Amino acid sequence: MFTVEQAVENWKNDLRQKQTLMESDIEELESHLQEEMERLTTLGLSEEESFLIGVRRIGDTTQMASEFAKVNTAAIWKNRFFWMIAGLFVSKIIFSLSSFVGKLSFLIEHYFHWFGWYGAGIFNSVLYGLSLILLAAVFYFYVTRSSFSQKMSKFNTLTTIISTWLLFEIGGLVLQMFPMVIMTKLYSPGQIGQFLWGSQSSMFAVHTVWAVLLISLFILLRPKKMQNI
Amino acid sequence: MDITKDLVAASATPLILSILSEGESYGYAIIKRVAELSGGKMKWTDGMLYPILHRLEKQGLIQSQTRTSETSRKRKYYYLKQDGAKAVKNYQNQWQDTYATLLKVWEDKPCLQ
Repeated sequence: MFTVEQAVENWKNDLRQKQTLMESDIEELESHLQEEMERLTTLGLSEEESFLIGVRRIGDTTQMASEFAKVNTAAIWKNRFFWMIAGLFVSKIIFSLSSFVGKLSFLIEHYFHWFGWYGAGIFNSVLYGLSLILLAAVFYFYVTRSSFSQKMSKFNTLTTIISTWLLFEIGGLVLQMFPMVIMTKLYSPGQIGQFLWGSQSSMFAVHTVWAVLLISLFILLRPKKMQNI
Repeated sequence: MDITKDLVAASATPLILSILSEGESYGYAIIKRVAELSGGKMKWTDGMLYPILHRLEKQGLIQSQTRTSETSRKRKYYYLKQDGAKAVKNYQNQWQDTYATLLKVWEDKPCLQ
């Protein structure tokens, strides 16, 4: 079933994906399209017909995207830079949280004595790896929702960037240090050493899996067509 | 016959500036005005107007203001700045010179008709 609202929304999303049009450009084009559609429907065309003709007159989206890219160069690079910074923050928080979750293996060993300290170290790596993947997946789905882009647009002053960075840096430090402090209070250096040895010797497996996952994701999500900017 | 792409592209900037010298306007109305002025002979791809407008704004020839119209639609109105008015004069001279040059050759050789 054709609805104009949905069709217009799809068209706008197509333009958004080109990444060279600002939200204000898209709004301006939409207002143009609406006006043209209104005129065509008063001439007796159906909503679907007026949408198709209106879109056709505005022109090929790819061609338009490259024209807008010439005007918006600075804004496009600024936008990319902010995404890069946001990526850094997100990876920082993901790694800190996972390291914290991994350290829970120490508590589990403390109460249940399942694996011995060396085994608990390996368990730490497993927990770390699993929560890394889980958190990355959660963040991925959160980021790909369109509402995230709108929130991101507020994230554009130097003050907000620096304060967010400080917050994440301190939060990450606390998350990583806190379990270690508890560990040294509870156990001898020998036991902690065994735990760390176990976790470090199995960590390479986690990093290998992580790298393979990232590479396959990268290949899977690559754009189908090269965009020229 | 429709005007060729090259000529449409070359005349786009002077045409937009000249239309804006008639008074402020917005994208859709500019497109309609072009169609009206050229009797439909000048075919524009509507979307291509906007990158040109934004470039002219960056160059400081025009300025824009977003306003809500009486039908509660948000529209971005463009109007000419002083430098833009100068540019119109400049373009006028150039196009008139171009036309005058062509005219001279055509008048000298009536056999071409």
